[in-house]
Amino acid sequence: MERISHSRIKIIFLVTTVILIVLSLLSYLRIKNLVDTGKLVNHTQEVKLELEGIVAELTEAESSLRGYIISKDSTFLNAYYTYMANTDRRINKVTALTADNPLQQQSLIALRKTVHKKMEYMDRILDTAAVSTISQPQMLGGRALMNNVHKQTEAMEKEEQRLLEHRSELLTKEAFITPMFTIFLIVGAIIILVAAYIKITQELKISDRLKADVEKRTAELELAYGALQQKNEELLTMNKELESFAYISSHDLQEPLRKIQTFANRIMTSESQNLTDKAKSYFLRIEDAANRMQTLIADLLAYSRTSTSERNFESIDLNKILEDVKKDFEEIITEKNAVIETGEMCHATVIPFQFHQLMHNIIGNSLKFSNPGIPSHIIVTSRKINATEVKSPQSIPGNKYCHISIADNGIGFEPEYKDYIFELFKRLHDKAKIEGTGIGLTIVKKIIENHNGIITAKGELNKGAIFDIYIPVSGVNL
Amino acid sequence: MHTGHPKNIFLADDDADDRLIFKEALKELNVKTALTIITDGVELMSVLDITVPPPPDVVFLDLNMPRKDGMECLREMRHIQKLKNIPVVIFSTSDHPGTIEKTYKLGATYFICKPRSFELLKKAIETILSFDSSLLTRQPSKEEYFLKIA
Repeated sequence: MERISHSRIKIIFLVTTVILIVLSLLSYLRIKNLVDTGKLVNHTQEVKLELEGIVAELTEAESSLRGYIISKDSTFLNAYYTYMANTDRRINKVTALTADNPLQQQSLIALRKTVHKKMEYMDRILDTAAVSTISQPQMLGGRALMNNVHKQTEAMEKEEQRLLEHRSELLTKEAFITPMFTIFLIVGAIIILVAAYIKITQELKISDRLKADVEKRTAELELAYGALQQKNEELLTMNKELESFAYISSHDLQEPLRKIQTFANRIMTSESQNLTDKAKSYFLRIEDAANRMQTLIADLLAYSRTSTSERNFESIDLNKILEDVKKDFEEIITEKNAVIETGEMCHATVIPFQFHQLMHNIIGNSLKFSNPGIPSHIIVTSRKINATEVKSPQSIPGNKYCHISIADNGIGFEPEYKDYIFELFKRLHDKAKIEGTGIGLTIVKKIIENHNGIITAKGELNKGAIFDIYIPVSGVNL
Repeated sequence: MHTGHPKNIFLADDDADDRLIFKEALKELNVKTALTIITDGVELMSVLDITVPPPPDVVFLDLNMPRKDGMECLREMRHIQKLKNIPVVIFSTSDHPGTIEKTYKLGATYFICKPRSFELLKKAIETILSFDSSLLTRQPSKEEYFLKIA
């Protein structure tokens, strides 16, 4: 919408500019026409003046000649030569003035011939006058020539006048058309300018309204942002309170539980001879339930510690962590005849105790969910890869990742449970068959999140499970 | 280790159940002891003030107590000349690494996480009482500080 109106305004101004340029050109031409008309009139005047001058000079020369013949006064003779020279000069001038007009040039050749004949005739009379007297007919013989000169100059003057009239007429016609066109253009320009003014005012109004809208919205957003920030802070405080609540409550829960365990245990050891078998079985059940609750609380504590404890990242050889985890399970490994195969492990920047917990939980699961009758075989591999190789939309492009894969040959799980198993308290097996609180993998997930990493699980029932972990290597010097 | 006179033991714990179990466990051990039972931190400090010297052979100190907690008592004891060298064994429900670290720094001698069975409790008390008095007055290394009973 705005783009379109911008280009519209551009077009309006372009058209107006073009019209103004045309108008300036036209008025220039108009002025030039006027000047040209004046020049033409002057030119014609000049040509006419010169032509009349030729006749006048010749007439003067003839009078001077007569005067000399009668009085023999040399001043007349001098005047005669001057007029004769002037006549020639004027003919040359007319030749120059009418150089652009072939018709006049042709007439001029004829005129020059006649004038020269007349001049030769007068020179001859002057020569004769030196030796004898001049007869009347001799004197009058030049008149016919003079009449010819008259006729020819008049014809040329007429031609010049005709030309002037023709040119003036053309110019007048132009002078009439130009103002009409000019007026037309001016009116057009005014209409366009008015239209442009209206359009621009409209656009400005819209723009003003939009600006006000934006300002209003910005203010609203700022308000909302402030509220959001406050809510965020509240949420952060609440989260902290909740975390410490989870920690303290699970910690305090242990105290009465410990007493239940101790007293139940005390009865079973020192008072069992006084109990019936039924009572003994009940006490065993109490012990069993209390033990389960103990594990649950311990796991919950571990879970809340993954978010409350300090996060000190260290660049560490993951092999070391794996060795420690293997030591944790030494007894079970021997007892179950399990094999844990580890290859070269990468260096990565991790929170060491959390990463230990993570590997402990995953490998512990593999050992726990082993296929009955088949010794556990766990393969841990790791290699450095680029973000593009990470099969997850959460990977950050450009990052290097350490890909750790933990595969086992245990009872696995049905593929549709691949996300379910990471949820808090979610379990796939009956408590009576396989112990567990459903917290272990939630802790794993939380730790991975603390490391900005990604974890995925693949499983096939009775064939095994594979956990793929991707953690950013960043900050590691190699 | 059987010396002529009974071992003088202090137990500071606000929890009646824990005190009862402790007393029974101690009774079942074949060690001559004199047990002084105290129920909170303020009482502990005043009893110590009145009875010392002679100092007790060992003080079992619970951390979570009303009025004055175990941490506070430990800190005060380590600043009072006549109580400075009394062996203090922290006897707590918690096994939080931060708590263990803090009490070690304050100068406790050993740290025991209250066991969940009577047998283990007996074992824990027995272990402490089996230590020679020279071993008890010296703080062990950090690794040995947290007593693992199994």
